[in-house]
Amino acid sequence: MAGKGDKSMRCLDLLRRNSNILIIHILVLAGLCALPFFLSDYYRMLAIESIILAVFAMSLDLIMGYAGIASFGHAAFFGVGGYALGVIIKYITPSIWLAFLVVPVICGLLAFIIGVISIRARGIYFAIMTLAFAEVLYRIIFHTHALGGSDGLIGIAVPNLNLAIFKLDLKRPINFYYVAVVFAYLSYLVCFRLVESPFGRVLKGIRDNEDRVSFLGFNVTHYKVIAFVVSGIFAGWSGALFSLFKTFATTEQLHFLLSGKVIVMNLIGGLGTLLGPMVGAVFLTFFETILSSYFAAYHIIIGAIFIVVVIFLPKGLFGLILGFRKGK
Amino acid sequence: MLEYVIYVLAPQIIHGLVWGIVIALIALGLTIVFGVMDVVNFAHGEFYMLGAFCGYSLLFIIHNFWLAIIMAGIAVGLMGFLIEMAMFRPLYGRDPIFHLLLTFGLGMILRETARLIWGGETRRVEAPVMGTIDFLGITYPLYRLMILGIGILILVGIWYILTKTEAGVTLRASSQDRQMSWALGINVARVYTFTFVTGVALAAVAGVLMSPIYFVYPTMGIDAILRAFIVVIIGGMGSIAGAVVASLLIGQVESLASLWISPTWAETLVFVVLIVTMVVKPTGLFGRKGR
Repeated sequence: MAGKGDKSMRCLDLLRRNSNILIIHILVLAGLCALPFFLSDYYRMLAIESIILAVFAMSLDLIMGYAGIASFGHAAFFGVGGYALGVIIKYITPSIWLAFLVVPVICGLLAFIIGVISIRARGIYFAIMTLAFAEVLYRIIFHTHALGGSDGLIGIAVPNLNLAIFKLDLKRPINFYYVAVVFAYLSYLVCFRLVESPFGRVLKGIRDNEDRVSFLGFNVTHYKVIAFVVSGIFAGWSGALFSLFKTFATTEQLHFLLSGKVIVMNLIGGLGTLLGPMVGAVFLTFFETILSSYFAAYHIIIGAIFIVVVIFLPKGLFGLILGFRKGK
Repeated sequence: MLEYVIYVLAPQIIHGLVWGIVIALIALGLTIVFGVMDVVNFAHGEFYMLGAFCGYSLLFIIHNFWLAIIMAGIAVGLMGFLIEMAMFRPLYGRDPIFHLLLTFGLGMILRETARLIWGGETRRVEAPVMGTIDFLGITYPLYRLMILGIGILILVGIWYILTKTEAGVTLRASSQDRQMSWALGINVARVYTFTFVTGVALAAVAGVLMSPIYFVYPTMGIDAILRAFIVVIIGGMGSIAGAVVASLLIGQVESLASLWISPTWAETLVFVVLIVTMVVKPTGLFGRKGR
């Protein structure tokens, strides 16, 4: 499987080898492209939000499902990505491309620092370390007036997306929807390529038996930190897109409730499947929004879902389906 | 200089001590439950909150603060008993991350339920004892000193139970080797339930004790749990002595730091202490090796 071809070529190669998968990809993309024509504006907005959150959930799956390290502060990258985009567009220059170049640098660096320090702790300790880091960031941003404090960074004017030939007006939900779909699809391809690469195999090895991988001569810490940085970058990107969509960045994007929620999205969908967490994110986002319009205390039901998933479906809905297929 | 010590520094140190003892009461349940059951109880703060609300409501009926503390502890302990039996038992022996998520969901349910029952607004409870005490020129509210006394009493009591009684030996045995204890005829499941109930009852008692000083509101558990987590990690997960020492340390850091920086930044400083501890000693001050 080793090879050093161009990334997109490799993906195409993988697809070509499995024409069934190619057909599925095309069908899903076609479905996603056709979807907004059947949706009202309200559901279009919801669809955009859930697609962005799907990428966020997938970014966590990279480390939690593949490397087996559970981050309980993943919202930190989501939030910092959002704030970084907000600051760049509001105060520096209204360029989405620039923001999307700077956000991975900031989030990657942040993930590197947090990763290097936290990775010394294993399992549940790592989870709580990341939670602590996320809380520090949450509090710092919450108390920084330049970033809007508890109100959040509001009023991010959405610039047009410059696509060389023409400028895409992102204020129209339908355009934003397609941008989100393209973003999610590309992110998925990159992550899929990553987990299927030799690097991904080492990660899975770490998940299954960390000591053995290190006996085989791999530097486990390096692999974990790199995976954490990649995961942080994708979380940052999705957070940036989220803030662009909402036209504001709030401290809620960094809150530990979101960190917990994104883990549950992963669990609902099934860890270590990439697609599962995305489906889980879409499911939870839709479910939560629809539920909240009928029932003010919907957190009770969301909490109950968490409990049911954890007790009865630790492999997730997706895992359940895969399990049946394998005849488990 | 002396005036600064008497009027500013000394009361702040005692504040820190009282605060530290209350954190210790909350953190103790968390660390015992983790040490014995391998369960990270993210809903622990919600039991603290439920304790405060139960105390608040009970005061309307029985008008006796001290009785309300005991009854709130029992009520919340009973709730913990039911929750442990229904939700935690199916997860015995699984990765602690599942417990973290389970209790995360449980916390959401408890917070929302409290909001439905008591409403979202903040409430206050009247202190059972008014007045102040003068000592060496330092004036200090009597009730806060009583919290300190009660807290120390509870901590000593727990230390006694754990080290000097048969129940304590059983508990420590189950914590060290679950399978071997079970083989030796210890009903490990019962030990777990007992541990959990004691842990949440302690949190509830802390909740009632703090209610005259702080506000009572549905999300008060979140603030408490984060601090308790930090304390438990600094002290070393599962270590009781560690949790107490770290609580007192954090209490002092927070109350002394707020002399010079705003209290909100003093809270952030607590996280910095945590991160520094983890960098220097990842297992915590009194942490067990491994993992």
